[in-house]
Amino acid sequence: MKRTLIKLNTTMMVVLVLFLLAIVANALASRQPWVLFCYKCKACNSSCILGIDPQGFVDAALAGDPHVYIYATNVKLQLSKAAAIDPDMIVTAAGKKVSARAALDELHISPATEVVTYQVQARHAAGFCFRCGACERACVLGLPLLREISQLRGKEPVDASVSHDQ
Amino acid sequence: MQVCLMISKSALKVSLILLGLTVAAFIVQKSFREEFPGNYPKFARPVDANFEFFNRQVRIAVPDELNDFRVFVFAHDSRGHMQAIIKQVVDGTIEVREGDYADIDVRFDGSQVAGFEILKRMDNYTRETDMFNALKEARVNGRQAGIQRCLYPLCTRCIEGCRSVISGGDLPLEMHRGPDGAIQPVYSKGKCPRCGKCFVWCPVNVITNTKSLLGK
Repeated sequence: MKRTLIKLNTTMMVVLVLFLLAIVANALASRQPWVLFCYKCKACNSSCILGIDPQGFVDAALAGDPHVYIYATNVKLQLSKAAAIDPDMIVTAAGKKVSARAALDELHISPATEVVTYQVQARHAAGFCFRCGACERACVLGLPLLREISQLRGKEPVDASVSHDQ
Repeated sequence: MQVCLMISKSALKVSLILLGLTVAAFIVQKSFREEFPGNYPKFARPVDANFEFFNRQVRIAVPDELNDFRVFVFAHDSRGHMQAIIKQVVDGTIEVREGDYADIDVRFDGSQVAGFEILKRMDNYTRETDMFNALKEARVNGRQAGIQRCLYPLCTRCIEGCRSVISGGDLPLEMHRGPDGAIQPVYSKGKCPRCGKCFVWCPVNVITNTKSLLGK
């Protein structure tokens, strides 16, 4: 019995170490190893005037995937532009939270209507971001969030008409 | 003795792994190093805006060069606070409709910013200030309203750049409320060390590079 438990314990430890190594490898592969230090204290959450959840950028870096959907609850743009950027982007239109595609096809909202985003892909959120650095200032660890944002913008820029590269 | 040797071997292995990770971390982040040209900065002029009031919306005409930019539409209230909403310029026009709530409330101490509050936290407004009404009241009562391109006090990157190279409070760059009510940078060229951080870091191109050592 004791031997079985030792084997089980060892196996679990190996699995755990492999999992942790995979996270480290992913963070290094996304060139943002500092994301490993983020302990999700949420201090940055309420600092963005565009309602972007900067923790989403951390998650995107940890996952190595710029297509992760993150909160961006205060970006105002025309529905047609939202649909052109990403039809699956969740927007608040007519008091409902629906995809940009559904707002056009099912709710029949005019394409020229201004909507407010709710959830967008991390790469698109990076495109909307002002890069004012408010999230970095709010971070208690001083993590360089703007690096991840710059990288996301550089890799796959959003539609030039809504990009905020001013 | 044997136990000590075992521990020191393990410690060495762990130290080597950590060292390897640290080196890898430095290598992958090397490309994020910024460069700052040693030139003087130049500053964008305040935005000329033409307000047209309708029953349930305000249409603001701005220069075409601001197309696709996001700017602050602001109005000062009876308390002397500035209420502002972020709006995108589409075809040289900004529309503020009834029911568009202010995103930020800025307090002043004289011409300088004393503090500010972001009014939308994630998906909820902590206070709902209708910007259409705020603009209308500002017009009726002769208070200041307009367009601000600079994101101060939300963004303070130029000031942070200045502070990173100049000790003490005598900075070449300060932010003041201008005669039009908008917050704008006030620059003192004589104090400027030409570090270049302000224009490299300015996210909205209010501060740009003169590309000149003389600042002309």
